[in-house]
Amino acid sequence: MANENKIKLFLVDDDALYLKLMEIEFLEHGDFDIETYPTGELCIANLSHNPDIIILDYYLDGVNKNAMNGIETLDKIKAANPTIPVVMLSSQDKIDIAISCMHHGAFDYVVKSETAFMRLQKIITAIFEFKKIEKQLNWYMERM
Amino acid sequence: MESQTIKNTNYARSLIEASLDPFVTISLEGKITDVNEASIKATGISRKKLINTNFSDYFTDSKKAQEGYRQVFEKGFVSDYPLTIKHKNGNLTDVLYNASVYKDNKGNVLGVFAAARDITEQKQSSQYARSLIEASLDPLVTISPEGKITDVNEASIKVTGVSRKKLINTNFSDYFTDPKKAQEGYLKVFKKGFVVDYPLTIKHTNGKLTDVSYNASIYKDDAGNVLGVFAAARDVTEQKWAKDLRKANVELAFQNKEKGKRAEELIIANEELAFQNNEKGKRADELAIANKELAFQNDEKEKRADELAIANKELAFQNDEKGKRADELAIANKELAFQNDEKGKRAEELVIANKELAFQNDEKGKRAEELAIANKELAFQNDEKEKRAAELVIANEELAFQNEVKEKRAAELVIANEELAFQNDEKEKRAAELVIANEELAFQNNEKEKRSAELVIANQELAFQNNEKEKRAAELVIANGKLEYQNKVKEKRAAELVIANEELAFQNKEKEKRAAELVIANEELVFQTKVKEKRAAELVLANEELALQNIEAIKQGITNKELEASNLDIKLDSQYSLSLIEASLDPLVTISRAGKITDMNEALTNITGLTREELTDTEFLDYFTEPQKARAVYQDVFANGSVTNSPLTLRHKNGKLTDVLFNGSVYKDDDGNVDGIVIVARDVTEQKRIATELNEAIIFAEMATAIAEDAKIKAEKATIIAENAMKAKQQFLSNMSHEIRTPMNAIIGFTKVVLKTALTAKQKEYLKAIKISGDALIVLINDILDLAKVDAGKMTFEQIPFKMSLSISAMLHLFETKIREKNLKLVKEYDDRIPGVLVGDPVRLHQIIMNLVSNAVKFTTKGKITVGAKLLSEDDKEVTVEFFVSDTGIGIPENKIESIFENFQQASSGTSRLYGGTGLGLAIVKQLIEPQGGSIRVTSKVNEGSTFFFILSFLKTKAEVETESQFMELDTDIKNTKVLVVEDIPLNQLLMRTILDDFGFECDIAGNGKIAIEKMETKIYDLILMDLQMPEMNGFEATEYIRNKMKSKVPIIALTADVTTVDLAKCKAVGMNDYIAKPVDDRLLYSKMVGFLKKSSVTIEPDVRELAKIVKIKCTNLNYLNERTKSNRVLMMEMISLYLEQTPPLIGTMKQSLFDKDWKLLQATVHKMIPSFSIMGISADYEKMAREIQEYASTQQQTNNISEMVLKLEEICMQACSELEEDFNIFKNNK
Repeated sequence: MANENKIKLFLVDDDALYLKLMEIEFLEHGDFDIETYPTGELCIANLSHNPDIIILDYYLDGVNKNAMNGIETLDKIKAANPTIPVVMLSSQDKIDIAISCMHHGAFDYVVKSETAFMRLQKIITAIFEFKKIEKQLNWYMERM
Repeated sequence: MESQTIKNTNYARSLIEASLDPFVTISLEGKITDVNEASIKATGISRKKLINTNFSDYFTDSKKAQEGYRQVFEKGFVSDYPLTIKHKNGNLTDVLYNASVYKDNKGNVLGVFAAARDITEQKQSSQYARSLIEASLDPLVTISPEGKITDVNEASIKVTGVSRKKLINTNFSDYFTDPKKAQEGYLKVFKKGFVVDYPLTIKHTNGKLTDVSYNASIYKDDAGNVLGVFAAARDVTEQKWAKDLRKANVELAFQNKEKGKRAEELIIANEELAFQNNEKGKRADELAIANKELAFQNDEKEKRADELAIANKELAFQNDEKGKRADELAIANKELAFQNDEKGKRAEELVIANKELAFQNDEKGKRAEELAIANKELAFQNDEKEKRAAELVIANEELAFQNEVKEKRAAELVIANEELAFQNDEKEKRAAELVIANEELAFQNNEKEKRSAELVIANQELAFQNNEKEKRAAELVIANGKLEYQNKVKEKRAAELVIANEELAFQNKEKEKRAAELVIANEELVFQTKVKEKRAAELVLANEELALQNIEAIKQGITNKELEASNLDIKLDSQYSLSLIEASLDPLVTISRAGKITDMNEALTNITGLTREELTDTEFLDYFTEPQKARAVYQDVFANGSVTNSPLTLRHKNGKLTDVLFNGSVYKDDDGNVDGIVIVARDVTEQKRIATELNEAIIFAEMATAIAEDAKIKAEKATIIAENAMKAKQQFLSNMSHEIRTPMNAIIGFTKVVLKTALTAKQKEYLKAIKISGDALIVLINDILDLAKVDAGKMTFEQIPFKMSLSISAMLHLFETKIREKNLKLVKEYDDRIPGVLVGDPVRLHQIIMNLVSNAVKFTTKGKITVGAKLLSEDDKEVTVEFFVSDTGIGIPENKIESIFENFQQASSGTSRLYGGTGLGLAIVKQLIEPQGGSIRVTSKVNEGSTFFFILSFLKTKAEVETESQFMELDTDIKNTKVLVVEDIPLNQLLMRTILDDFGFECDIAGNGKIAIEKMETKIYDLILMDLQMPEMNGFEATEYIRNKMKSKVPIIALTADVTTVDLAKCKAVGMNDYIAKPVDDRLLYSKMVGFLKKSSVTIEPDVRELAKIVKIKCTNLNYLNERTKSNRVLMMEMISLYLEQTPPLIGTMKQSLFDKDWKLLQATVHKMIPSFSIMGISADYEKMAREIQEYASTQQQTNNISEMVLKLEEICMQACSELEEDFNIFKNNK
């Protein structure tokens, strides 16, 4: 029951080490309810857990060629529930990857680096800020 | 007959003359043959002059007039033929002509009878309507059944951007984004007769889209033929809310109706309620009366209760009194009982006395009996004596006989006799007295018996009285109890009554409240009803007015019925306009030139709260909060012909203000003279309110943001301050090390140097004092720095293999002199079971033992110091060793044992005075032991000594086992050691040389890095002490050169005055093995040097091998993990095990993919490895290398480098794995 008030995060990355690190970082820096998945398939399968935010690795099919890649996963998430903000993670700092992620409806794109976690934190804050503003706007629109 | 005809004719004539409509008869030639008075008025030409003139001359359009009467002749009639009569003074009168031919008896056409109806008025009204329509903000349009636009207003032009001319006769549907829908819309109108709120989007020529909502209805001519569609569009883009409002209005209207119904119901209900109210009122009254009565009763009851209370009190008082009395009675009772008892006792006593008396009586009786017996005896004796006397008498007689003989004797005997008789008498008297006494005694007995009987009776009576009293007391007690009970009951009842009272009062209040609420509800209902009635009345009035207007219109219509279609059209238009105007929610008002209100719609009356009658002919400006502005607005209208969206505020008569936007345009009469202006006010209160709310919300949001930003700025400032403070601390530490150590270096160093020269005893003593003080100061500074390092979490522990036994021996060697000086004995107890080589941090172990031993030496004046190591446990991976340092010194008081491990604590403040020291030593020892997973404890007895035990675990290793023999020769090895000191400052050069000479090392000095390298090329050194800041080539550069260019792995120890972390990191990065802070502590330097000399002597034989292997620096460090996990061991272990799990397969894949030239897989694999480098603290160079591999792989440029780099990566990863495995085991074992 205590989890109801926590923000539910899905962390998806095939790099178990990085996945664990992210989990540790998030647990260290905030009161999150975190679920981690090594593949996009597992993430999709568990969407029913209603995550508030999904942090998704871009390069999920690196070693396992048959795995669903990040963009496919993103599309499936968006198809299932377009309101879930998805932040894409990648080790590559490439503009075309970033753009393609944004085109597929990612909320933001973060490069895996030392500052990645800080960025993610900021983004999560931004997401909630954004949601709040949207809600306010809706409220005012309704009032109008 | 004829006169009758004449009369009729005259009558007809007078009727004709009286008619207000100009009549005229025209001959076949078009000449006027007759006119009536109205015709004369209309033309301003006398009858005579009119007759026989051309009929068509009096019209503005004579041709049309001719056409008209020609039509009459042709068709026999004409109706509503519009013409304009020209007055001679130039006035024009619009008329509709209705004409018919009149014939003689034979049917010959004699001429035309034409009746004109002055329609100026109507035209004006139609124009008025027109201007109203034009003034409308809503695009209005009429559409023919074919879907062509027949008429539009200004708003339509604005909204489409197409001129009126171009609009008319074009397809209505062309102007919408969805023509099909538009078409469907008007077809629907034709089908259903109307359409309401049909949403469409108008397309402006400039592309601007306007969402509108169409309301359309068909309009018909008199014959009921559909002429077209009248469509009014309302711009809803700006006014979605208005639509909503309208919907809401409709709903409200519906609700109003509902409310009306409900109101009626409510009225009925009201009435009922009123009735009920009345009833209730009555009931309330009754209740009130009842209440009052109750209140009265209550009062009564209260009074009674009060009385009862008083009575109660009185009763209580009486009770009390009674109680008292009862108490008194009880006391009296008791007393009585006591008296009774007393009496009983007395009675008993009396009884006893009685008994005694009885007994005495008995005794007396007995005595009396005895007396009686005695009496009897006496009597018997008397008898006997009498007998004897008789005998004597006989004897006497005998004697008398003898007397004769013995007369003398007889006489004597007589005397004796007499005497005896006397004695007898005496005795008899005494017996009699005894009898009397007896009798008296008997009497007394009787008396006593009587008295005792009386006493018994009295007793009984007393007992009886007692009983009575007791009874009465009991009764009183019972009565008391009863009274109390009654009192209680009464109190209860009183309390109940009070509660009942309160309840009644509460109920009364509730009822009153309810009554009041009902009254309020009633009033409200009445008020609502009144309001509704008012509104109904208003509506009725409006209705009536409308009806009136309708009637008038109908009347007019009836009179007009003679006239035909166009007239009706105009009327319809005007009516439609009027109803449109009335239906408009926006206040519409027409104002005369003088500024007086001439007409208005319902909305205006609503918004001002004044009736139509009250409004008409009043000053338009009076209804605004800013009359001047309003004046300016309507003057503007007159001046410019129109005004749009001018903001003003209307005032309701109840003071309510309504913000409106004014749109006005002038309307003109036929001559183009401005008659007045039509003003449409749009209520924007709601919009304004929303705008204000929005503004407020925005302001609030901005404020919140500002506050948040403030907070953020504050937080940032705080962070900056904190960071600054941290920086300041670091700066301070750095300054400490630099500013204090450098001069101390010189002081201590040169004191040592001077000490070696020839000195007098005094001088030596003083210099020694200086040296000791300096040493103490350095120790203090080092301690503080060490502790600061611990506090900053900068204390790291190495895991390197070392020989423990040797290490401890070497370290103890340092104390030998001191121990000898103090005449102490040093005993070493080393457990042989401890494996020879262990993995741990020997330097820290040194530091620990050194601190403990130096303490032991310091606090011991005689006896011995024992240093020992004992194997506690051992498994296949690690050993746990307990070390101990025990002395026979002053010991530690028991109460201090707890605190000696805290900073700046010594066993007593006196100790520092006596023995010196900072009190940091043990704190540092503790800080060195516990992070390694060890523990420390102490046992001590004052004046007998202390023993410090500490336990540390070490990993077992197989490395360097073979070097055993070499260590044996260590001392000689070390003695032959060649050390290169690279130092630019001559002072320090001298100092280092002195120190190294002391150690017995051979030493060369180089002034800078360049010289050092030159020297190294000619001579082999075992160890280099390298200063960092030097001219020409500094320590970093020199080390880099030595490592990379010379490929030498000679141990390099940095000498630095700045012991900031940056420097240390840099030292390690360029390949230095260790560092030592200036001023150099010779013991520390010695232990470090010995450590490296051991190592290098071990690994000295093989030639240049892999860089990573020679430099036995760990490639990983757990700083990052430590930081991330806040030193959470479990999390770190999890991370490490994940790495260990993930990395080897990745290395395999990497190698395989390189071999298979599967670049994509190589790229993916390396890609996946990249984040792990920084996590595990592996040098960024390798991460860069991995990125390069990735880059090469993705671009598929195969270079020779790539396989080399992959190999390197593999090596470093494997090394990392093994290191991490060790770390993991340490964590596991220390858990």
